[in-house]
Amino acid sequence: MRILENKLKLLKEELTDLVASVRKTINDSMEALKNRDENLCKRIIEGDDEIDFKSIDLERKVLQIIATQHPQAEDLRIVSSILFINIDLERMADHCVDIAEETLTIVDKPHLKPLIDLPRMKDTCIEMLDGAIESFLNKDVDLAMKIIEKDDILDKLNWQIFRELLTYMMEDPRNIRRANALILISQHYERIGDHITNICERTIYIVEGKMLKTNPHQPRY
Amino acid sequence: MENKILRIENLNAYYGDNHVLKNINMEIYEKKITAVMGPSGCGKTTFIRCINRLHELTPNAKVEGKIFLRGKNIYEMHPVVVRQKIGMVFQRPNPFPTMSIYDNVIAGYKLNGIKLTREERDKIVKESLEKVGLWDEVKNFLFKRGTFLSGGQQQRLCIARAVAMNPEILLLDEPTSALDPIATRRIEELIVKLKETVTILLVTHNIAQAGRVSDYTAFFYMGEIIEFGTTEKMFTVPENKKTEEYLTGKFG
Repeated sequence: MRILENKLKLLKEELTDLVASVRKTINDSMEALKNRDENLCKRIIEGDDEIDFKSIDLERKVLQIIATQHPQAEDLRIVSSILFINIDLERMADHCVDIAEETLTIVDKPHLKPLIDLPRMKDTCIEMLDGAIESFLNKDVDLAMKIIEKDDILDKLNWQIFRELLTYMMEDPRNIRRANALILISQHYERIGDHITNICERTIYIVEGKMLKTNPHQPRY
Repeated sequence: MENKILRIENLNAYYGDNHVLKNINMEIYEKKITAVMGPSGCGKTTFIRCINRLHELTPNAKVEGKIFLRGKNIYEMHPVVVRQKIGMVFQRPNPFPTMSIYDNVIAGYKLNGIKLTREERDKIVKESLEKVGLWDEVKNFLFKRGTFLSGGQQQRLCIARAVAMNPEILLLDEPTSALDPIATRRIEELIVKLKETVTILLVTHNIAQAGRVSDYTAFFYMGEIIEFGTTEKMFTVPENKKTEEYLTGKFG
């Protein structure tokens, strides 16, 4: 086996491990909100340090491979992509921390309304993350494109949640704090989706060598 | 933590009045690859020649200090025993020109007068050539001369010759500098595979090669060790400014 091939295999394993941690945090963030679970919120916030350590470690290993192995062509595209995906994953975990912090501000009050669209956003994020990583590991451009399209679902849900909560706020200003928290949380899931599409764009870069930015800004109105 | 197989204490080497190695202290980890790099004339070749006691064979050369192989000072051992335990492969492939491929592999036994049965010989030849990935390429003409092979094959034959003696340490002195890139890559992959069974010390002026294959790197400059540590650390955040300058091509 080529020396670099072996190192890339280990790097991918480490990346998959980081993905598993981030995936768990995304799931936990919704559990904490649904159950108004203060302890879980705190655990998510504290647990971010571990994800940061993993991310730093992964970054260090990528740099060591660049310094010692001089990857070229597809190897270089993979190694550099892992560096960028690492940043996306770390940012996703940060959004989960923000969600947990936002949840803490409303944890003492009953939910304004049953949570339906927000759990759907979370489910979509998880589905997209799994698909994105699968597309990356298997160099599956078709799958990557399908996942990128799913980001529309998140955008639409985010907008829908905003409009709906706006009516609650207009109805009774005492709802503003809780409604606003949910709007912010929805935006965090929407941003997580954007980071996942970045991962899919990396798959396309690895396979086709094209650097593209999908999902150009679309007007909401 | 890894085991240390070799400990070098206050090693000084001279060619006449020329003090070429200055107070080297270093430890080599077992079954790891340690690269020795540095600009020309920094003492890296002299350093590994001291480790299997070749340096003292040069007229006017002198060695001071101690080198312990598993706790035993090699300068208190018989040089032949030292060279059995610490094998060496040189810059240019040097199979014995008059010997067949087969005889080249078992040359170490022949030259040391170690008697082997036909079966033992066959086994050693096959295993050693397999270890260096040469068996399939040469098994049908084992009794042709070693010099009949290509440069890269010759170098692998020389490594097989060293490996056949089951050394504890293998010293490689710029083993790929006379080879083309493809042969170089094969040798590098072979070196990485060999560390499963033997400790390797690799002298190289090729910085990229030190990075690719080694676990630890020692940076020599003007006969001194400037820095020693894991390759991954040294190639990303070296501690010494001189190492940084050498790696970034500012001198050397």
